[in-house]
Amino acid sequence: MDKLTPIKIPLLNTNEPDALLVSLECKEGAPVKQGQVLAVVETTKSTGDILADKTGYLVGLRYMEGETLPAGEVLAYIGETPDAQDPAMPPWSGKDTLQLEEVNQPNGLRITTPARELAIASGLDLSSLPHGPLITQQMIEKRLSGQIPPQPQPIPAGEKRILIYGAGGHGRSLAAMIRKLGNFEILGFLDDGYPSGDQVFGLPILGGSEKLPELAQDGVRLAVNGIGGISDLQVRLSVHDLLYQASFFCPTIIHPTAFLEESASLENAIQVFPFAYIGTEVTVNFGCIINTGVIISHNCELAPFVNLSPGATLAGGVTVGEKTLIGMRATINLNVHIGKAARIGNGATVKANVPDRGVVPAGSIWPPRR
Amino acid sequence: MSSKSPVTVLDSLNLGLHQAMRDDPRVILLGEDVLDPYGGAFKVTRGLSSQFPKRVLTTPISEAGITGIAGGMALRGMRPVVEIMFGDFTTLIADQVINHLSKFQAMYHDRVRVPVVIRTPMGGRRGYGPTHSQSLEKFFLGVPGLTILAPFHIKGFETLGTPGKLLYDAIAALDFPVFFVENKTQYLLKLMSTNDLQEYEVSQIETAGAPAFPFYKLALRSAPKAQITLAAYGYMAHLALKAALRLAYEDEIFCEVLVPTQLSPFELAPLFDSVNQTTCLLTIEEGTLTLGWGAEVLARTTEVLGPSLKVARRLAATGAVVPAAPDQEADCLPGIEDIIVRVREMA
Repeated sequence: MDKLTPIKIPLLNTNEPDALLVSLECKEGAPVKQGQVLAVVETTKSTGDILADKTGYLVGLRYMEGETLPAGEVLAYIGETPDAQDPAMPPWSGKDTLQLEEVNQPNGLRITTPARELAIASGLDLSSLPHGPLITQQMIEKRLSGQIPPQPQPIPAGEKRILIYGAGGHGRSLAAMIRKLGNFEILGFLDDGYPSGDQVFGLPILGGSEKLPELAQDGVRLAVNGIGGISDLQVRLSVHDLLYQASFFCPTIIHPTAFLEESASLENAIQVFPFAYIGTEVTVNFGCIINTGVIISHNCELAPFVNLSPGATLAGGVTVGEKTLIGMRATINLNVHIGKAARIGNGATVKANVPDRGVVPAGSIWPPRR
Repeated sequence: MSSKSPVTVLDSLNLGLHQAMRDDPRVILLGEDVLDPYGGAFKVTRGLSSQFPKRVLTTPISEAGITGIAGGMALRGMRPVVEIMFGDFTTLIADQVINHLSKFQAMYHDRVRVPVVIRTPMGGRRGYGPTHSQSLEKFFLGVPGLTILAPFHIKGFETLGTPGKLLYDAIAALDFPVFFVENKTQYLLKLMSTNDLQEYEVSQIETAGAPAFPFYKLALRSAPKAQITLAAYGYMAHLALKAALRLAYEDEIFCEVLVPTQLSPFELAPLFDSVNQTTCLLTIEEGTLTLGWGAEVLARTTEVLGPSLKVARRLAATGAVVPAAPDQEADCLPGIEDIIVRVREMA
């Protein structure tokens, strides 16, 4: 660990605990000589210079010009190298991390106290939580509860073999995506409708669902759900159940041309197809399908198992309940809430909330004009 | 006076005054001890008498006299700004404000204008004792013909900062009497920049009326929808924001904070919209409870929302004569803990 010498803020005036930082005479990382003026501070009655106690580099600058400095606190440090840091301390900040007395923010995470305590008590890894949204106790409970199947066993490091359940159109698109990504080794398809041993899309059909236990025995852990479920969502959901029962884990697959904002947070088992856009502070829950060219604007929230068809467009702040299907090129207006298990037809325009199990016919405008 | 960007509410107000006096030679400043180098008891007027020596008048200790003279100056085409050194002394100007300044335009059949701005710091927490720590703006709320404004410590996109801009607009854009309510502790608050507001989603909502003075709405960013609306202005808005953060992070009770800058005439549409969603309202003020700002806000909200409003309460000063001893003074004025306790009861 580098030796860091703190530069303390002087008490210029016994009646004033604070001083104004009028100017900084050198930047973060700059070399400084002993006796050099580092900063000029001012109280209502006098000004003073802060000098460097030793030669080195100015690091860990905590305040900016114009800020009020509390006397006795550390303004900066003199280190032996320009990037010296104390690993025990939080990262030097200013702009990026906000230090608020009111909130405890481990490593830039925004998490409430009840949520953090529950996470720690349950052994949930805090670094697996998304940055950006405020993590509440309910969100931790969801992660821990059976609502979203948790990872039953750890995946051995380096395990890249993956299965695709379902050899239809959707499964083949996934195969193409995974090939493009290049980070998994596709063993083949599982499909109850094809004879075992057939070749589809250049990959073998390994068998049906009965093959899952022996593949798991063999150490295969990864799978993706190749059932699109447009005509029958139940089939798609039952595949998730099957995979979970057999101890398989569905990683989230994202095509390289899809664009995800940093502040978006995605659960597992999500599929993001080419040219999709997932905007700032969007939450996508377990098992959603974000198809080709889908646009999800900022602050949307998708519950588990939502299926957005190609070109579906959501404005900001849209919330979609679980298991809802939104049709191709349907448009959903700002801040609209769509309930659970709803179906929005292709090309529909949705301007107001849609209730649970609501159906909006293709090409129509919701709400319907009288 | 440096031309740097304003850091505190005090800087912002000072810059606003400088700008107003620079832009219009009719703006005159009157007050007690406002000349440089002292620059006013709270330094809001620092630098002005040096820049504009003929237009800054130091007066005898006669609040009624200063206000009356300002009224007369206004009738004769000037735009006076009056500083009342402590908000507690506004009792001495009540007759001038209520029976004279705010009625001239109507009584003289619209042939005169009274563009007077009276600025004064209300508020305690400095140990100044019973007659130097009160928040008396409540007695002037609702006076016909009088506009009452209170700044919010947000930097916004204004070079002057929003407090200075609010004061500038009050001086330059309004042709009727304005009571500009400042707060002693608020003076020292740093103006919140976008960086300081990272935890919040801030919206500025224009209200009806011309000119319109905005409402600010602050909700926790990327958090569950608010269950309760906190309404507060001036320094109390700062305490409300701190309480809202702690309530979110410690109790998972989510609030949205609504901050008006125009207190009177009451234009509460943005507040009604918020309470329509949350159905739960707490008003927070530093003045005393009975027949205060919160009382009027609750009355209007009930009238408009009716049974949609499920829970409504007010948090205010207890009504004790404000003690000088700091711990006793803190007991009688609403603080962050008081807000948190009250919201927990209501949630």
